[in-house]
Amino acid sequence: MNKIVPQIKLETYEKEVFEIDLDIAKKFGKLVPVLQELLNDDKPLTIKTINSGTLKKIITWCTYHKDDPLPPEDDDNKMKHSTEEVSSWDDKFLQEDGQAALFDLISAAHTLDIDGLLDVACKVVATMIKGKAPEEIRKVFNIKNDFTQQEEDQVRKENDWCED
Amino acid sequence: MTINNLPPEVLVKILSFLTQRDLLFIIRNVCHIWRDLTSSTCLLNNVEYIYEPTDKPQRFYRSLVKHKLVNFIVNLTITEEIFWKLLKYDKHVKFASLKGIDISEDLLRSEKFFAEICNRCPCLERIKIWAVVRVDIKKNMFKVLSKIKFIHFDVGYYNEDKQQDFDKYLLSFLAAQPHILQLSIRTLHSHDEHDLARIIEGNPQITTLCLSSNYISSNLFTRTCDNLTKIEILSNLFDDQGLEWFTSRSKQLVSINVKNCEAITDKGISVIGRNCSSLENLTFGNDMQTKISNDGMFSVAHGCPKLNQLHTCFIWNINDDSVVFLAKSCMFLQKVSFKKGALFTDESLVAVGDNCPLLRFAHFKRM
Repeated sequence: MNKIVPQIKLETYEKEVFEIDLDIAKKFGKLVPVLQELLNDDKPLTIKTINSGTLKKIITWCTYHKDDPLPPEDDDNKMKHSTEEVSSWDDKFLQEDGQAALFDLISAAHTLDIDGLLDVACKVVATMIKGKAPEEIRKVFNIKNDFTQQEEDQVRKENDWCED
Repeated sequence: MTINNLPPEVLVKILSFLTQRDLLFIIRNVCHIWRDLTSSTCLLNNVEYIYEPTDKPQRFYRSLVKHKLVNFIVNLTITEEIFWKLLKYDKHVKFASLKGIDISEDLLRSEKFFAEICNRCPCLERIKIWAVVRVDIKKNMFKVLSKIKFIHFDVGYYNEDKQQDFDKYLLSFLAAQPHILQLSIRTLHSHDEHDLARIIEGNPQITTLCLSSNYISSNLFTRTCDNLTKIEILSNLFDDQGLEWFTSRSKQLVSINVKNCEAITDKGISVIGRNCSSLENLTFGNDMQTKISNDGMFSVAHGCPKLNQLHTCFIWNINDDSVVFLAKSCMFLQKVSFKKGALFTDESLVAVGDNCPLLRFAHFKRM
């Protein structure tokens, strides 16, 4: 007889129900105890802020990283913020669907408390910011310049004044 | 979804991967949301200012004062000159959250500087003084600094007249510092042997000890140092006996760095293997090193099963035999480097590759 893998059920924004193996759902930090309670329940947990496409990506990521060791808890690693650690698989995986999907994924990783995914996705975004001027950043992320002319002048003055 | 729809705590996390310089000069000027975020406490708490050679530090520090962000800095690298400039710009400036300060100046001119640091940094617990301190301010420097109870104290100074006095000031300062866990003393002169023994025995709570001075006497350390886990000694007179004393008195040593200790031979390295079963990091060897051979390596490989980092340099007398044995005995090896010297062949590399699944870094160079 096949061993039954415990599964939990999540319902997305589109009311699509996903069945996720518990050993994959274990990446869902704070949600794990909640999910375990729901194990024997037939009713799925509804998370309206996550759409099906995003949840699919999350399941793919968690499956790929299922056997990752837990990150070491020492202070050296916590202090060190480096963008080099993003693996090429992660980098490609996170960027392949465009910016909007990446931010959906980040938001979902935040909701589901998936530390590893949130970390690596934030690093990817930080890399996109790095080395750019404010105007370029606004362009890349489609951010409206909401400074008044007066504030802009102030910024310019500050920076001029600082150059000495 | 766009970037500014993300919850603020997530945006803060993204920005935390940038440098403080980026935050102050770039991120602040993107839009109002980002400007507000750069002033958030947690963001500046988590980021250290990393100095880059192309930087204009004045500009950075003055900008911090201007934007009233000084209160959030946790770690600061500064010179006396810039510090005074900062005070000139804002004479009421306070570093309310500052925990660590790194004084990177070559020459310290006035004792008032230390008094100002003490007054303006109420939470200070780590200090690193790279500078050469002038003779006339040394005494008062320690007097002023003794107002603060440090956890991490790192001082460097050169031999000058009245050096003996200076050591005495240092000693009485350390005697009243019961919380120091990490102590570094970088000098070029010879310490009085008794003084060093007094420091180590008078501060038994110390876990990390870094000493670089011309002479470190070994047989004066008589008590056990149960808390000591990390030692770094850079002295060409520190010898096997010194290692024996340290390792037999602190059984918990996790990290030993005796790079440049020319006097150490196989005997000393074998002692490490005998006494340090918890050892994880080991660094030894220098350009004069001819006294360490396979025997020392065998002993370390046999006695330190938890070893995960091994760095050596100019070890002329070791070959495949000991490297292969090391690879088979220390399966937790993550980083290993043999810089110049060793007579190994491919056999060593294959053994390390086959036996050490955690290996992340390997550097093998013959001559």
